[in-house]
Amino acid sequence: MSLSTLADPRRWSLTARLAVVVVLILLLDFGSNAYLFQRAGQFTLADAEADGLAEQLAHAAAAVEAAPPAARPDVARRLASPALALQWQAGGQAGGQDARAPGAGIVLAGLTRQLVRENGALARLRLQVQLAPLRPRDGFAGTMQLGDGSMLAFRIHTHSTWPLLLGHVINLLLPTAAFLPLAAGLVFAALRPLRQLARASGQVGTRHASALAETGPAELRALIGAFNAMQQRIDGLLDANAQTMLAIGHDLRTPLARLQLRIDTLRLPADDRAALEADVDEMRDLLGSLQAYVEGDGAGQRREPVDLAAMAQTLVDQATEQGAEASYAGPPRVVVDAHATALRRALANLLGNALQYGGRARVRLRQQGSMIEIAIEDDGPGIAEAHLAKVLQPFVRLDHARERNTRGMGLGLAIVDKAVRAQGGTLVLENRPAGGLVARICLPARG
Amino acid sequence: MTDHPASLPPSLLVVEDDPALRMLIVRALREHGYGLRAAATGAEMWAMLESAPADLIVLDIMLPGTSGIDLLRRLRRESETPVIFISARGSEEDRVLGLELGADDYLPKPFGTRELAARVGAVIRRHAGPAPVRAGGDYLFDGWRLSRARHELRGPDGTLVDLTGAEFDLLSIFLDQPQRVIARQRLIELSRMRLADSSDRSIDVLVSRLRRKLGLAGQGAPIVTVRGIGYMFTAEVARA
Repeated sequence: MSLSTLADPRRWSLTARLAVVVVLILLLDFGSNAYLFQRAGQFTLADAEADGLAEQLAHAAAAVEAAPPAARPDVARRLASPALALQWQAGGQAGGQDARAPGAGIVLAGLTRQLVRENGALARLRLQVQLAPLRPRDGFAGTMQLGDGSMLAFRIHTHSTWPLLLGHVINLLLPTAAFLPLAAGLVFAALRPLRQLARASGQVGTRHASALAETGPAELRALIGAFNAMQQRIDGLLDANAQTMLAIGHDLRTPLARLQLRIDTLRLPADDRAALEADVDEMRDLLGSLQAYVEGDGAGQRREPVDLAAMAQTLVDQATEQGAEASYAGPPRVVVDAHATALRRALANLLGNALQYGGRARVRLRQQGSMIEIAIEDDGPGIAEAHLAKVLQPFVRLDHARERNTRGMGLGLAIVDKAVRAQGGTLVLENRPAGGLVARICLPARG
Repeated sequence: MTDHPASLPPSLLVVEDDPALRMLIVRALREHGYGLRAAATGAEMWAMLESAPADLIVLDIMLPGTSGIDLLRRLRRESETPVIFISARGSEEDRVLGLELGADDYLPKPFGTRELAARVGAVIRRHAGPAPVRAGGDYLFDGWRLSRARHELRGPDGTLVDLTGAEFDLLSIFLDQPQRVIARQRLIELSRMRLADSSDRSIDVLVSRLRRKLGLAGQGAPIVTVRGIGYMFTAEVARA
């Protein structure tokens, strides 16, 4: 990590962030413990209560000590009251450690001193008092060491220690309570760039793809860096692919021009000449549709307001001027933001298909809320349902006579689909119940 | 052109880097009666123009070294020699850029002899006329703009409004003679109509289509019918 990385917490790695959180929690835990122990050390009872308790303990110790060892457990039991439980444990051997530290609770040094002050006999008994850990009915517990080294353990039931007990509970929960929001904040902040990455991944290879800013923890920044590099490679590949296809198209046009001019110089029977010219025309159309497909997403062209109604009417009028049977129904003016050339080519392809396969074409335009629908219908045989999705894929040609793109490398509908998508719209092909095909383009309205 | 004796054929200069295609273009145009010279590069073109001017240049847009676009730009600064440019990139941008830079026509490869000769003939005729009109230059009216080079019409808010070829020609005629009544018969003669029947009726249909496209909300199109005679374009027209 460089210095600048260290200086900016937003650039720390996840591990570093987690370590910082853990250290913070430990400090918090340590602080709250220290505070609790300090409070426990200063804890005392009301003088009257302490006096009674000291008296009771000294008396019990004296009574048990006076009894023979075999009778001591019994004596201890009989001396017990609802507020005081007693248990004698033979000296030092079995469970001696436990007896000295019942429950390993928090030592109440202040209370011990107070009790010893109230009754000097307790000093000889090495009285120890601890907070009874997490037992609601018990206030505190302790031990006294009898003269022969055996132990008398006791538990006092009192409500006086509840504030201490509550503090103890809070002390136990505090690290967890503090850790949860800190960890949640840490994870949330770390995941924001991840969410951006997920969004960006969905756009790889489209015109909307753009490099992501490298933000967030070091691990994510490394991931975003790798993602950006990958995206760049993919864009490069797509671009190289497009450039290759365009270059092939360009390079074939010059020899094709030579071929066409040579045909014109030859003495040929009329039908041979017509066949050769048709071949050249077809090749020109293939190259044209290849170029249209590659350039069809409108890359490098700006979007501009386009009167879609005028565009559709113009295409219909041009078709009817050439003797085709086409009609337009819709408003005289509908403006969309689009790549005019790509959109015009898409509509022209659909209209051309409808006229070629259906004989007649009807173009309908309507605006529904924020969507504009343009439908191109024909009365032809339609497309088998199973093939409807397939015909939108590039370079796919169907065997069925109706479905064959006689010209254009099987790119005709793929060009339309690509162009419509680039406008943010959708293309749907459907067979009409009355027969014939309808191609529907839905485009977002302006604004 | 006008300074040539009638006996001399128009002299053409073909600039094309592909030797075989250059030869074929030269041969095809020579058979149509033109005088031909050929250049493989921009440098050769300048040298040939220096020795003798040409009546028309057929210019390939993709040449080694200086591109045809740059040659065209420089050529336009120095002379008004008509240019038809040919391109292996059949892209819309090339066409528009070339025409905006002042080329007179555009021909994408591949093309046939007939088409090439027809384009050359049309451009030469246009320039031999009494008032040669370059394809470029825009008309402005009521906030609308008709661009001759781009062959496009834009509304006051910049909206692109498509026109058919016949509609474009008809609107151009109106814009050349604003505020003047133009008889139906004259309109039919002036427009190189693409309609099968160039009748009064087809002109009426074209005018109604134009009105529909030019009519914005709350404002009619600036074309009025002069009963029994023809039509008049009423808006002020400016050239840009």
